Amino acid sequence: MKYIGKKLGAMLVTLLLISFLVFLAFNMIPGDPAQARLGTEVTPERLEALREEMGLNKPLIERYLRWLVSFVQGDFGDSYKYNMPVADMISSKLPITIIMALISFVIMVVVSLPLGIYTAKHNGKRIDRVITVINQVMMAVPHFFLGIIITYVLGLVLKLFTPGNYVSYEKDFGAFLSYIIYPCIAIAIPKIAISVKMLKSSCVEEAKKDYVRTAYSKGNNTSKVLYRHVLRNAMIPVVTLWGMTLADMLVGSIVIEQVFNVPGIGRILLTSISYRDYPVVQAIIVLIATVVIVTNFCVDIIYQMIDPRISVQES
Amino acid sequence: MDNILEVKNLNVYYTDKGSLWKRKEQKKHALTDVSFFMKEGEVLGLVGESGCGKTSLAKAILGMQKEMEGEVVLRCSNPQMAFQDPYSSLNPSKKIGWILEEPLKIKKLPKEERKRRVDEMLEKVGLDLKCKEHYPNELSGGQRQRIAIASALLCDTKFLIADEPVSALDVTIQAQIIRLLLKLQKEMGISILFISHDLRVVYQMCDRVVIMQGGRILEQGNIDEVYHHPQSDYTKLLLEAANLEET
Repeated sequence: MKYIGKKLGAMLVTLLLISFLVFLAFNMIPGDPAQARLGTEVTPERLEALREEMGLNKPLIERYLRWLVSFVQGDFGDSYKYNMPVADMISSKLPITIIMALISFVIMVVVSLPLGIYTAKHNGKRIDRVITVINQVMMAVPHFFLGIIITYVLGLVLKLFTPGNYVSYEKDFGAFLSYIIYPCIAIAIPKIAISVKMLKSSCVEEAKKDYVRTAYSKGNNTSKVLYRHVLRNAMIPVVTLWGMTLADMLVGSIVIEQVFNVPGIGRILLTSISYRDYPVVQAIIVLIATVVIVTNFCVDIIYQMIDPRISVQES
Repeated sequence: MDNILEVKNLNVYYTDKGSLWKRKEQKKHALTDVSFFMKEGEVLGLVGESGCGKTSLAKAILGMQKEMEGEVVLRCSNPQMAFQDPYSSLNPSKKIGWILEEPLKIKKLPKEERKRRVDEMLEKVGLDLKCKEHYPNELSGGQRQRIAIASALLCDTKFLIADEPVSALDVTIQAQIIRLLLKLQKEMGISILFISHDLRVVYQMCDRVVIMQGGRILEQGNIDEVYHHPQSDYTKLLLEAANLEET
């Protein structure tokens, strides 16, 4: 419990620090938001009035605290471009990106776990070499390129789905899922390659240790040794990797959304950047950072659950 | 008394499979014409420098060696092994209680019986019952080696291979573990194949000794005979290096 408390504290500090840095960065970018909204042909009085109204004349710290308090309450400010609350713009899109990241994550775990164990069992045999080579290739290919290949092969040649024919999850959840699965595969494949490689080498490394020999001599058969003894210890580095991957997938889906024409958070982020719509960009960055940090926190906790050695230093 | 172990003309090879492109198979001799025996209830020392085939021999005896010729007769079921490194010989993610109970679980003993046998064994190896709730990394090296021995003995074996069981421990702990092994050997009548490179420890522990070099047996016999009248130059060298006169 003490460990969790400590980690929680560290997480909150990190979150505050990041939000402050992001806020600071957007304040240092040249360009006055009030000026941007009114255009250059405006009287200084109107400009000053709007600056007053937007709170731009207050000191930086005060503005930061005000922004932070409203951010925590779910008010992310208004978009300069569309003049509507950022929260309303994001709230319908965020689920799409999160669902995509989660599905990709599930695909990765479901595929790489048995595949990793299989290659570990057949270490050094021909099938292992074949998988290793495929792995290397998949690891090197960027996911947006995989997305293009999937669109071509699965979409245009095999006609499993119609590229670009995105269905909103509010309209038809089933159709939404059967479309979204393809970008998720594109996101998952490079990550599958990495985790299979890691799980395999971790299993092979673990299997060399003396306790594995002991486990055999106690009368266990190979699969019992693998599942009861080796796997749990071999999973420790893999879980760390997966934790980092979940955050990665969220960011990865931003690019993939463009390839598959999915109106997720990535779409808004890109258009907002090109319109210099800073409140939107700022909100999305802080949100993504928050998800990444919270994920890492969860991974630390899971990590501690599967590896008792970590908590021991505390007691 | 019967011989618990007989090894006759044992040859063990390792095949170097070559790389992905070079498919030349090369055979390497790990053991050449090894013959010796072990009486029931005796402690046999196996001495030699690292890489001389001690571990290959142990593996061959346990039936873990695939490419071997010759004869290994072991008149004992489920032989056990205690390893040099007490850090890696216990699964780090399992509690001591679980590790000790595992062989009994495989034999499907009832729960009370398992607990009784584990507690009894812990007492025998001189450990507190509280350690069942700990993970291996929470124990000291000496404690861990005791756990490894206890776990081996819980498999109901009469034959134990101790592969350098004390060389990773400091001297006082070494003495404790040696005393423990000797005590258990007398109480339970087990035979121990004691692999070591430390001639002093072997002298304290063993009844007879086998000296190995480069995969061959150079000499074997009663401990006093070999130590006082070494036949081969290598044995003489080893004895000189160990400086046994002082002790």
